[in-house]
Amino acid sequence: MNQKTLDTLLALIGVGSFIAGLLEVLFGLVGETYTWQILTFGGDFTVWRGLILVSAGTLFFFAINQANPIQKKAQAVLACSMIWIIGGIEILSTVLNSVTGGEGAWINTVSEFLSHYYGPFTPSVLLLPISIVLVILVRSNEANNG
Amino acid sequence: MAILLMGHPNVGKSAVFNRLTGANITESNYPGTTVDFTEGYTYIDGKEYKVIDVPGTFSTDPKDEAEKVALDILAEHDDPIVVVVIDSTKIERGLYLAFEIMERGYRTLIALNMWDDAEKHDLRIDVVRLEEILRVPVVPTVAISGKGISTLVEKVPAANRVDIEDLREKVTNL
Amino acid sequence: MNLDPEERWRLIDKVARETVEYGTERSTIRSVLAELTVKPLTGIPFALAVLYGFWGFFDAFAGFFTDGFFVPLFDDHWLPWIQEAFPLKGSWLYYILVGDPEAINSFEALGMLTSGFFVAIGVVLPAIVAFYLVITILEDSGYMPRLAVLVDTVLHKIGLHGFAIVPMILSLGCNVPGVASTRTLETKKQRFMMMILLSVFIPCGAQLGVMLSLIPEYFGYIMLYLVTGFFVFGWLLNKLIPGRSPEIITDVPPLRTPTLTNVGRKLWVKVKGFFTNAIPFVLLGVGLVNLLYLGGVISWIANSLEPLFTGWFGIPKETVAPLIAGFLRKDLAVAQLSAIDMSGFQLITSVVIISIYFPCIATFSMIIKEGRKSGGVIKVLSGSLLTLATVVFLWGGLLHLIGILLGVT
Ligand SMILES: Nc1nc2c(ncn2[C@@H]2O[C@H](COP(=O)(O)OP(=O)(O)OP(=O)(O)O)[C@@H](O)[C@H]2O)c(=O)[nH]1
Ligand SMILES: [Mg+2]
Repeated sequence: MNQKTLDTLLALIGVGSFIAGLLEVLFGLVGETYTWQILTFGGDFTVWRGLILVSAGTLFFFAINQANPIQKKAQAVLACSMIWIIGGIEILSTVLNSVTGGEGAWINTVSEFLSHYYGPFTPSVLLLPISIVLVILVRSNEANNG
Repeated sequence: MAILLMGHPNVGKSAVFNRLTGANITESNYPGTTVDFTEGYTYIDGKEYKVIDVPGTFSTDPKDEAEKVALDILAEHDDPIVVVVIDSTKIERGLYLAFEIMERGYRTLIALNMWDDAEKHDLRIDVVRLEEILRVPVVPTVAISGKGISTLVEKVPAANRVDIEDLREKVTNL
Repeated sequence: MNLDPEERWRLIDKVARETVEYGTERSTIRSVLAELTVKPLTGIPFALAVLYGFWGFFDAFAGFFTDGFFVPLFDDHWLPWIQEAFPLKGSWLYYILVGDPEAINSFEALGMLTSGFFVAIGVVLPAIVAFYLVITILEDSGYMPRLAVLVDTVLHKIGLHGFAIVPMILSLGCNVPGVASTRTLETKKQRFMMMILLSVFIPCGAQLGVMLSLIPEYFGYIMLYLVTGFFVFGWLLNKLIPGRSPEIITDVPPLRTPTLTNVGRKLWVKVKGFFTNAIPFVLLGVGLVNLLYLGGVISWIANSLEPLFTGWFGIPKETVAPLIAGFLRKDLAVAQLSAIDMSGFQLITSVVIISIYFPCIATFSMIIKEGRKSGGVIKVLSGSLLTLATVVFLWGGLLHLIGILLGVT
């Protein structure tokens, strides 16, 4: 993978995380939930999630400016893992919530169960696929270099 | 007969201990996990050996309570076999402790643990040559996967006392 | 015969040159990551993410089991069944074992078989499984000592020296191994200082878990106050106690991928320990408190201590019962506190006091055991009791004062 593709990907995910993070901090501070299409901002601890996304975004920008390829990749991986942590937690709680039913029911009905997966999702969940692609590229690249 | 597992903190002594005895003591990736000793038993050639996992120690000159425990154990046992567990990627400092123990006249055996890490770091150790020089058994091990543990067990009876005077002369003339 | 260190190194150097061949040492992504996680600029944001992950995982996992399964199980099935099935309604035995026959949730029934079981299995068990799972992964990956180095760097920047971070982090799991791990400290002063600070200010995993499950809205405040206390008194003790506190150099191990077998094995050991050690103590705690109630001891203590409780600490005298249970298990004590009717600020204060008033029995016996090795039991014990009394009185009272000043009591 050449430098250009990597940098473009980094810029893409960097801008995405940074802006989404800022918005989360903003909505978190105001205390509102805002949903647009399949994207939602708000909920408990939104400010924290936002701060982490903003720092991940910043780290991606650092990575773009980094000349040393190993440093660049490591910074990208670190930032991606931050997205994975928040995104992963989000998915885990969605899955666990979908299993238990409401009052008096231990297991959900199938349709109720599925309804948890139609979204909307927080930004970190939507950033997850890009970050996975990024890490796969970086790792296969490292293996190739010997 | 007692086998003492000694070595620096975090080199994998507890991991070796668990593989040897089938015990379940805590292995964690930070120094100072084991601060007290644990005993277990293993059979080699039908003979029962008491195996002791000793707290990590940097040298035979104790700096803290955990190291004191380690040296008390060493002093307590009558002519034990000492398995010096070494992190292969930090072989020099491991050998330092091994030398100290050999100087005290204990029957010694060296486990070059974390052999997988050494391979990853492209670090090549000539085990045969090392055995030749030190005249004690040296066994590469990977305690987490169990690799080399059976060889280690086989070589326990071959643990050796070292004539330091000889060793010094030999090494000086290398 | 013994060589002197210089000669030893000389020989080893020769041996190594003869037998070891160093390949071209490349830095890998993993080794760079290992550095990035300890540098404040990159390490602090990552640590924040890890802490968030910790909390988030805990919340999802423990919430799933406690609220999703155990609450309905205990409240809808076990409680009504045992309230009916247990004979001798109205007797003292019924009171101790089942508690309130009219209670509609297991929390407020207060019997050994109702609240006791519910707290132990429904609340604490999921909490400690979630907690230790994360801790184990952090331990085995090698992130824990990195967190320690990071915290240490930050502490030094703000002028705080001499804190041993690894025992602190270990204590978050359980104070007992935390106290034991002070053995790796060099001087008696350091050991004494850390033993006291750990056992007083750091809540153990079970207590943290119960706080997160039952009173998550106050968790942040309680921890903030305790951690501040840790550093304030740490700083003071460091000034007051004679002796040296040399720098603590943590050897930072490489990052490793945790293996499933080791994580599973460690978790299993912890859970087994919980069943054999913790559950009996929780049940015993509930039984003891009920017995003391029946004997009138609790109300007698509560009335005699009322001036101290309401006057100095600003908490209701009913908190005496959980305080007694707290000798055995702090998690149980917090659970009992959360069932008492009081204001939010009072709840915060009483949980803080539960945490600092006395280490649990297991930790206390560990301090005695370790004290023997560092300056004598009497010295360590009297020193710790003196410090303890001062801390409880001052730090507890100060919180009341803060409440008054903020007008939130
Ligand atoms: N890669 C690799 N890791 C190992 C090996 N042996 C042990 N480990 C890991 O290294 C870490 C330290 O192992 P322990 O057995 O706890 O080390 P110890 O020597 O008992 O450490 P202390 O009790 O602190 O003195 C753990 O995370 C083990 O899983 C090995 O051969 N290879
Ligand atoms: Mg160990």
